[in-house]
Amino acid sequence: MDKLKVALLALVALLLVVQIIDRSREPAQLGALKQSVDQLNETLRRGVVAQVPAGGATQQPVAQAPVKDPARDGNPKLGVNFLIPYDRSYFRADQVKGTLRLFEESPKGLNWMIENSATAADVHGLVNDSLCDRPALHPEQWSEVLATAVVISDDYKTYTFTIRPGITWQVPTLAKDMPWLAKPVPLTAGDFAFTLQMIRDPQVECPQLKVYYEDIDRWETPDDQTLIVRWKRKVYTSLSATMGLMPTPRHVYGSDRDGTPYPGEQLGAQFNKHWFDQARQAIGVGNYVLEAWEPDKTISFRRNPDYWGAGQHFERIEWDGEVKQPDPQLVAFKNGQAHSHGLRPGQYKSEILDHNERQFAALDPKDPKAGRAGSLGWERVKSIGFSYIGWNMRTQLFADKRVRQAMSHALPKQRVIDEVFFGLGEPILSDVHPSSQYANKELKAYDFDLARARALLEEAGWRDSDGDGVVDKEIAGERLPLSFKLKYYANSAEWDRTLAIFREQLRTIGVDLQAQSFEWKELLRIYEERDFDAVVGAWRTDFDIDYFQLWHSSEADKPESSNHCGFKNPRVDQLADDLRTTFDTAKRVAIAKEIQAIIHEEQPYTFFKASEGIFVWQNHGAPSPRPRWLDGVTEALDKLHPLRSRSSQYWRFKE
Amino acid sequence: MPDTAMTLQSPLRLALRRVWRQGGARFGAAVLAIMLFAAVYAPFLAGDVALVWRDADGWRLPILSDLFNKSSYGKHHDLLFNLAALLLPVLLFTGWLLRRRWTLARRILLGCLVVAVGWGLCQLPLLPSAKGWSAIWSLRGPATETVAVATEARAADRAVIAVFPPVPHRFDRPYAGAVLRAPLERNPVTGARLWLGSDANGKDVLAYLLFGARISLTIGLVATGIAMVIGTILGAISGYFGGKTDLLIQRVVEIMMCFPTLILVLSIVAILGRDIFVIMLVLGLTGWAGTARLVRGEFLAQSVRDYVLAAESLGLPRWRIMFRHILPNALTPLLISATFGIAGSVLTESGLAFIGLGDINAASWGVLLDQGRSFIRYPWIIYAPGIAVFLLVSSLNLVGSALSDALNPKGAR
Repeated sequence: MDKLKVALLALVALLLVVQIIDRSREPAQLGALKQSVDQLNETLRRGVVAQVPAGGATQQPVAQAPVKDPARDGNPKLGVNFLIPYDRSYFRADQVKGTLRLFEESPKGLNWMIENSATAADVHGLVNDSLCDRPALHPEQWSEVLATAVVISDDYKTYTFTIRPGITWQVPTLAKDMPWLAKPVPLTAGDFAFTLQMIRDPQVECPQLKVYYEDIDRWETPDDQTLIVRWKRKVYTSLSATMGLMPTPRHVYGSDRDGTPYPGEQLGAQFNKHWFDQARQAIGVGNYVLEAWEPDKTISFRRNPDYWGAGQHFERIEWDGEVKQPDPQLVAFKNGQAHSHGLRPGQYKSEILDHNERQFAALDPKDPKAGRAGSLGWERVKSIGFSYIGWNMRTQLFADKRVRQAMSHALPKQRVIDEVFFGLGEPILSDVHPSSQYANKELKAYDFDLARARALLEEAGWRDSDGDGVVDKEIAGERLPLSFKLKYYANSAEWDRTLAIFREQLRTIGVDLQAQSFEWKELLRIYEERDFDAVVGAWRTDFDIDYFQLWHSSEADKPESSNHCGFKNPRVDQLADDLRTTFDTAKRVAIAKEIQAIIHEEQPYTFFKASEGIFVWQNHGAPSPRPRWLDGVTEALDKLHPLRSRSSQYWRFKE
Repeated sequence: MPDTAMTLQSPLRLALRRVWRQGGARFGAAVLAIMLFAAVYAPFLAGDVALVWRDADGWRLPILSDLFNKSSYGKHHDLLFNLAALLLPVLLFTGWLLRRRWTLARRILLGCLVVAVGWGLCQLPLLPSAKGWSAIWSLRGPATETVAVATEARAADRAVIAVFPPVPHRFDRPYAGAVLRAPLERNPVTGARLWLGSDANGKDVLAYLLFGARISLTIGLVATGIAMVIGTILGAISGYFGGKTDLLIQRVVEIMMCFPTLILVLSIVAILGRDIFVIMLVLGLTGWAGTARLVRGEFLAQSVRDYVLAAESLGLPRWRIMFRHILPNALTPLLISATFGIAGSVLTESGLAFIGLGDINAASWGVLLDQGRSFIRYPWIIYAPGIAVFLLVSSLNLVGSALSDALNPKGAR
């Protein structure tokens, strides 16, 4: 027995020795590897610097436009084709390789029109293309994609598109069993007309799309390469609704399983629960072909060998929907199960600020790009959207703007951003992203100032008359204490903490805030029925601004509209109407700034912060070499518009 | 053979003596006593209002007024504990005076009754005030004798004598700049040590734990109390009457038992909201099935005993036979199962909070555990409440099993 023990011990010792020798060899190998990587990075960085002039990416002219036509600057104008030519300059055909893996929530279905889910839209972003696109460099402009030209006429009411010739629809994997699907079908103007037909068909269940297209008058397809869309009236939202149109494979969605076309009146009803969607299929004319979709597990895409455009540098793309919770996702990311990911504020604090994960580079307050040095890269990125606390202006408590201003003075935005979101987020004063051309930079912030808040409340007649610690006021013969419920989404630890801080501040000026959290569905009901004194919310905004949905008085009294705080202002109404019919950028900017100034004065919302996140990716190999890592990420971060800097067009694999 | 001298003592006293002989039970009882003390005297141990204050206006005891300030201690159980804190010395002394005349059980009952009556009185409008009659426990402005005020006064060279609780931090206050401080670091606002660190809100973990003991004990007692009452009544009816009544009630009990409790609790809490009292109520309303079965069994066995037949032949009303004659004889197993029931409720509440269904406005240990899960690299957030839950639950179990040994007639040594 003892001999056995000794033998075992000896074996363990031997293994240890082997391990130690192996370890000691590693640094040498790593050193060589790191050197070559550093060299590569250095050249890359120099290359990038050479391309990006001082002043940042936003002022940079479009690189390498093949056609030098001054009209084609991407800014909408009448009578000429203004589309920026299709950009292939970033694409290197020899670099296409590997499988990009990402975490992405599994969608319920893949029909982007019916599903109204972000993932379904993302699937079509890979599989399909649209008529025109917003270039990642300048999202406020338009470039050609499936349309080689567009001419807008008739005072922005008629759009005439020329469709790129020679494009064919992808062949679905189902074609093995359905021979009629196997033959190549060319893309024509009719496929775009079919999308419009489905959106407008009263039987098709896509309310979220219908609102954008209700002002459409008619569309025509004089030939296979020409699409004419006519609108009833001049309205700015028609621009992105028309330019961003995606084709729908008429030959698939217009037919039953055997390829027999449906009669016209059945089309809409069949489209809602189409056999093609139920077979978990999706096709398009885009860069990737849907390979397989296992609900709640994975979706995989393979590069389309017949793709007409440039696209991304990956042979395959796999979306993992199995790892759902943030913490397991982070562990899986670190193990190389995903190539890029996003960190929650708490994870940012733990992994990077407190540097508990050595693979990330530590924070360097002086260098915002310090995160690029680690073997796992990280960088702070902006995203479009903002969060706020909305005050119900219909209630007696918040009808007076001085009370709302006092509330804004009592929210320590910077402290909350620093302590709850660990610095992620940018305090905002309006609903327009600070980096947008429409942002009014002259607004004066409601600084955190409890004395000012108390003074404003007193001015508005709120005093603690009965010594109960809560200020009150006599309204319509009744003493009303300034005590209110603030409703918010239940599964947000960050908002739990934000409101704990806010409540503490309000308590010192005699305002009683009671935070109440609700499940998402219940919160939606609360928004719709205006069942709140105050509510926390967030909006994802667009590059095109529109003040009608959120702030127009006609929306305030509509049930279920987005103007849930009941904001009414005749000047804003007039400006919002003007904005909808103004296409000239300079004039739009002026109108938008005036609206923001009025809203800022009225404070229907206490605008809180614009979203910021920590984007992480598999960077170079050192110190633990990984078989493949992402290259070109920093290039994208440097070159592209800050709100689009996570676009993957520059990414490729290095080994 | 029982000692003749001991037979003169009450059975409860005898049982307690047997419980005390077990080391585990002594440990459990000691931990429980410490926790009970911490829960009752939490405002004196952790808080930012001075216990004693002296300035130009003379001597004051600010804590006394703050204990009944609804804006400082707004929850009903807080009032109960605050009242108990003030009454406990008096009650203990009275109990000691009455030690020869009244039994232990009676004195404990009297104490509970006094606190409960006081609790009710505090909420009635009894005090004259500017706006009519107001309750003792009412909303008042925040106390002015706080740590911050004292620091300010000292900085301005004004003579202030102030004695603060040993942990000068309020349990529900997020201190600026004190987020995720490790144990023994100092709070940048007050300069005092954070003995167990601070959480992601900037709250002092130790202060939070002390007040969390109140929540945990309340949950255990209230939830188990509700379950015991429902279970006892239904079990008694079922066991005493038998026949169709028994058949019906037992089927209801089986239906309750078949429900996976946690899922039932989850769905009710999701519908009714995450209030700590809702959680107590739900735990009580779902946890009575076991008690009902236990009581039914005891009643079945007792209802054929001679004393019951005698009472019946005397023509006593049924409720009197059930609850005055049989129930005291069936109390032993009930007492044991209550001990385990309290432990179970505490654990379930922590579990609920851990999966994010706790009341974030209450200082519940489970809520802190839940936070620790997302801040796994800051282990004190998870160890501190984890150890507290472990200690409470295992002490209850130790005492429970000792009680079970002691009260079981076959096990009497």
